Amino acid sequence: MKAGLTMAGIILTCLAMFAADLSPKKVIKLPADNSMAELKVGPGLKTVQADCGVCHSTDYIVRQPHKSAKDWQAEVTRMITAFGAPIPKTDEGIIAQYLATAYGRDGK
Amino acid sequence: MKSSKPDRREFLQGLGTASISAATFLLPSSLSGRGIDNDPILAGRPLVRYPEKTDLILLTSRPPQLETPMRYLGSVITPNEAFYVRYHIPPPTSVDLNTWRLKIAGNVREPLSFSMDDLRGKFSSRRVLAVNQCSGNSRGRFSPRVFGGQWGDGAMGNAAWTGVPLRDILDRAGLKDGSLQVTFNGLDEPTLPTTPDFVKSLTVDHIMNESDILVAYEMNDKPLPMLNGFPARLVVPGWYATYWVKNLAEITVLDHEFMGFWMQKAYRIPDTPGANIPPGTQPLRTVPINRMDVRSFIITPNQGDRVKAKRPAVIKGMVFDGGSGISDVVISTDAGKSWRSSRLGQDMGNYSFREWSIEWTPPSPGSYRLMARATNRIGQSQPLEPLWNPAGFMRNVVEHVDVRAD
Repeated sequence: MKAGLTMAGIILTCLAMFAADLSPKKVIKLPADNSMAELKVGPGLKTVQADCGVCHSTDYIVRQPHKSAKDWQAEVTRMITAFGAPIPKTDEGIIAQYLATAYGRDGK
Repeated sequence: MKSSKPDRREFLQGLGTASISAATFLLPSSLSGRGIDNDPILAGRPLVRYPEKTDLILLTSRPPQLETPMRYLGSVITPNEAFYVRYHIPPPTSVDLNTWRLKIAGNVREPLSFSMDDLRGKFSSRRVLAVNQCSGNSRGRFSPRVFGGQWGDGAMGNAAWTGVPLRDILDRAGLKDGSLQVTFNGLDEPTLPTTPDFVKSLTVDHIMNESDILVAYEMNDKPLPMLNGFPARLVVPGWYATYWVKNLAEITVLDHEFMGFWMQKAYRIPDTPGANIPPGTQPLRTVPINRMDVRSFIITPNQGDRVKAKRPAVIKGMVFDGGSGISDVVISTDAGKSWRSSRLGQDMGNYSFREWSIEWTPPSPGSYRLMARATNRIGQSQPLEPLWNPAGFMRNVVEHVDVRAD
């Protein structure tokens, strides 16, 4: 019985592989977000993770040039008005402040 | 019929960090091969292996932006598994050719629906070698820097695209009077309903006068990788890649201008010569980005390489433009004081990469700045100073490589 089940298993596996090669269906699995693109620790980090992570991974933030508070505020506004980011009014300032501090530069 | 949306469970899994699956996909960039460690923009970026892809330089995970290591761009053809990847919204993860259809609708006599068998069987095909370059390729090099995908130079590739000329598909459906533009929508879908779907448009004039605009179902004579547009994508030779909509599902003919976000607000360039404005300023008027400007790259030697003084060495690279064809690529080995014509490689068509090479003997030990400058057949060339625009598009400055002769 055991040998029979094993043989059936082998045949089914072969058929499945054969079918997979001929199948017109393409399926891919995307990997998890880059665990090395960690956001810097700072006030507002949790808000950023919750509100921004819905749509994109943290490397979208971490890879950006360090810009002024004014530039970062404009970018947060753009996320809301252009892309419909789910950022409540109460969070907008927190997120802009976090980015300007963690990924900001001195100047205007 | 559209395919299934990205699986919600997969999406939520994607939010997890430091998971085992992430570790299997990340490789230290010191294993990378030449170029990455020398490039300040790429320093510290891991290599990742996404489905159907070899190790590529990770810019962003989700939605994915994966850059091609420069060593692949030393060959005229970029292999499918090394071709760069860029999505604005999540790509489809499952497509079934039994149910996938390409729908042609709108201002047409007869709305149509084609399966892959229909595209292959009911139309003649055309094969075109064409460069696909991201509008923001090399954005990481802008000075002053701008927000956006911080690419090095690897958001580009060249492939042989096989498919049906778009104008033949539109002829089959029959354009009604007043047809002005055509929109292209793929299977990629936004995470939130408030995010504009990625839809691009081209004018009817452009399409009907260009037999090389294809609905392509093969890339380098193989089915497209999912992340480069399976089962079919638009190919717009000579134009920036934003128009080359992937995982095509719907082609719609309009009798008016398309007002979608990704044409009206995104992907706009200053309406100035060379899309160039003073750094840090805003353009008065903008137009949709369109045809590529001329660019050349030095592939060998690499930045920082050592060469032998008084011994012949080869400098080589590649060149491309927006479809007029290349007239020449001149090389300087003395930081731009003097220039010599390189030898151009085989002409693979106006839309393809073309190789160039030149022999050079460093006259004495010391540092040398090598530069390459291309001119196309309508007299457009590369500027010695980089252009600037707020979105970081169309960079095409003369490139340089510094080497040391011992």
